[in-house]
Amino acid sequence: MMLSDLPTIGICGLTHLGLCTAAACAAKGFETVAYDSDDQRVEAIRAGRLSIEEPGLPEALRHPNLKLSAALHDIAQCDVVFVAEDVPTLEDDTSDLNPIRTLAEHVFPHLKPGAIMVILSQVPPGFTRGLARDLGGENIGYQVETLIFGRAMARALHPERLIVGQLDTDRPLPNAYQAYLQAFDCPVLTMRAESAELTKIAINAFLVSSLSTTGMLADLAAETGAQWSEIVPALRLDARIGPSAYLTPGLGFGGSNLGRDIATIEKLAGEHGVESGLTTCWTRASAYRRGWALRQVHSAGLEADAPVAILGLAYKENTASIRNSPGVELLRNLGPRLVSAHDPVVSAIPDPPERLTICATVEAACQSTAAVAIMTPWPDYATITADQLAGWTQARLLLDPYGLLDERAFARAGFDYRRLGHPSGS
Amino acid sequence: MPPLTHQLEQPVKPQRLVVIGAAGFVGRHVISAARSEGVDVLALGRADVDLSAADADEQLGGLCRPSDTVVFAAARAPAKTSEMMVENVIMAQVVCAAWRRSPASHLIYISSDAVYGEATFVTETSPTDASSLHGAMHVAREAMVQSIAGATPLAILRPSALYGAGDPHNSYGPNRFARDAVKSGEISLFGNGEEMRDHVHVEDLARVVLSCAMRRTSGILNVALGQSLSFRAVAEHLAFRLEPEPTIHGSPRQNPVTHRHFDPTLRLTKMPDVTFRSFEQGCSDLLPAAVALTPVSPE
Repeated sequence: MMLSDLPTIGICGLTHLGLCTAAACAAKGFETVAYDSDDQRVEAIRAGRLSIEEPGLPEALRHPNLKLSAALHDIAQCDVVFVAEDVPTLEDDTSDLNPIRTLAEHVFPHLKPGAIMVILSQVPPGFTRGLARDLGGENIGYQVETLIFGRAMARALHPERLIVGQLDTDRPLPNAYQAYLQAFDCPVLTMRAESAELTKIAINAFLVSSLSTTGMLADLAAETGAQWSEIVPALRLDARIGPSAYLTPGLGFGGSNLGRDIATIEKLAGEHGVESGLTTCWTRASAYRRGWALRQVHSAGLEADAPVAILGLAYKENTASIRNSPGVELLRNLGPRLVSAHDPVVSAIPDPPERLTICATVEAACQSTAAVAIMTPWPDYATITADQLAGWTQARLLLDPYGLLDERAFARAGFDYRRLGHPSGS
Repeated sequence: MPPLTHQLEQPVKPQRLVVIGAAGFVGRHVISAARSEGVDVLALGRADVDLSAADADEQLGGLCRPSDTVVFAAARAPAKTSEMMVENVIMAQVVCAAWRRSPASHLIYISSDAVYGEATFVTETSPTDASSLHGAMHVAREAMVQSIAGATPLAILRPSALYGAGDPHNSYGPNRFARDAVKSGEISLFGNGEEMRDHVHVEDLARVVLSCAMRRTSGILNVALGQSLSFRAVAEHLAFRLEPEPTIHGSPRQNPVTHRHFDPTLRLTKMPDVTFRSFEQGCSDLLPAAVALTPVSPE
């Protein structure tokens, strides 16, 4: 039954972004139509078979306000219709916008009078206005998504702010859309569509900038006898850097979103003649970080065929995505060594090398190896103790790039413990 | 250049390895590594084909077969004058002309990390810098061999500072330090020897060349250990191994300090089976050779 005082919201494109947005929308009390033109995809979601791992999502999708549909007439009931298909990324990190455009063209003619279509997928500056021109409609807007894999539900339910791009900033937003935005009880910033589209890219560029600076300084710390983890609290207390700054050194910006935005900046800068040498440095710095574990394995002087255990195949914790995963990249680059791997949610990878065994337990993965590398900071791995690991394996080289473990305890137990930003053997 | 790729998944001995520059420091070690693996080698030094001769391209083309793997290791290095630079470019022009007459199945060009100019930290994607004659010479020769390779696999190897037995050059570095230490009991450094360099044993380069030949590798690869040492540390490693221990002394610095470090990730990823020796391991080979060393004329 439709509530008369609240608008009905449609979410089109049921990939990661669309599903999380629909679930959050239903949880906020809106009648929500979660639409996808692929009825098999809709059927799979209805049956609880999700192709993504996102904490809290399966439960949230069972909300009674949520209607899964492959029928366009359900979209015709909605006051606000989001186009939220994930933007596919090509091999070179550039975006393939065709699926977004196709979906928008497919849905737009079915909007009821007075309804607005809002592009939520990540698109470059100018996309929304160009689309509106092509479709001959003014009732089209853009809203910035800030999905973070593994924390998407919390972010969708409690955004820091909502950023809305309009074709005409002199015109008020439709009442239904305003009612939707107000439900999130956070600042709403409205601006030109192009500004909103670039805001999304700007946010990611600043994150990449912080990650790149963090990585370089962490390396410098490790080489000069400093400990990066001691420096971080001082930086967080600096108001110009901030408590939530990206100060944890990592293994390059994995996943697709950051890399994609850097590629978008380079493309736009090329087209518009804007100097963008900085992005080249970021990309190169990220590529260098990705090789950290491989360099450690080689520099440790292990036998050329000594087997290695890899803990963590997902590109980050709380996700099943292995795109740009440091763990998967490491195992592919360790030939001819045998590799035993473990991950709490990833149980297979495409084209697995013959020398790979994926084990059901951490213990099984660590047996008979000469090195253990924790490549995804899953919370499960933080509970491993030095006594446990020493009991499971003869391995002495322990790579813990993210510092999940107690460095001193493992060093005392005789492990050659190596962590980003810390001198080895410190 | 496309990224480094092995055309053959499993190593296969090349039908024949043609080494141009067979009498040079690199060429000799490549030949020795290839022969020890049972690879048929055609060694071409200046005595066999003089690349400055008028009909050199015809001669060279006549010696190459379509199934050959060609290693182009000939150079008059380092190119210190414009004449030497042009001489080296003409050498490459002859090799290119010979290739057009008689293309082979795989080309391996031995370039140099001089193509990176003064850059402190380099990867294969670092921009090249043709501001020195020697760097410009290799940048030009790389472009020349790329222009003739077409669809044929072409590997461009950019070795870092090389050392090892039989280095004919007496340039500043491990070989000269070893000779001086043995001969005079003294090692002389520029300044305090602060400059960091990535010293690669020539036999490790030879093993990389052979690995490329066996996997029909194409693309650019830096040949470096991934661990740089200061010249002072190099001198100390050598001195430590000699009795009586030679003295190491600095000298007033003429040039500013520059460093060179490499990201070895691509090599470790693509050639995990070719393990490099550390300088500590490699310099032990150097000293007995230096002790027995008789002056070698330049290639």
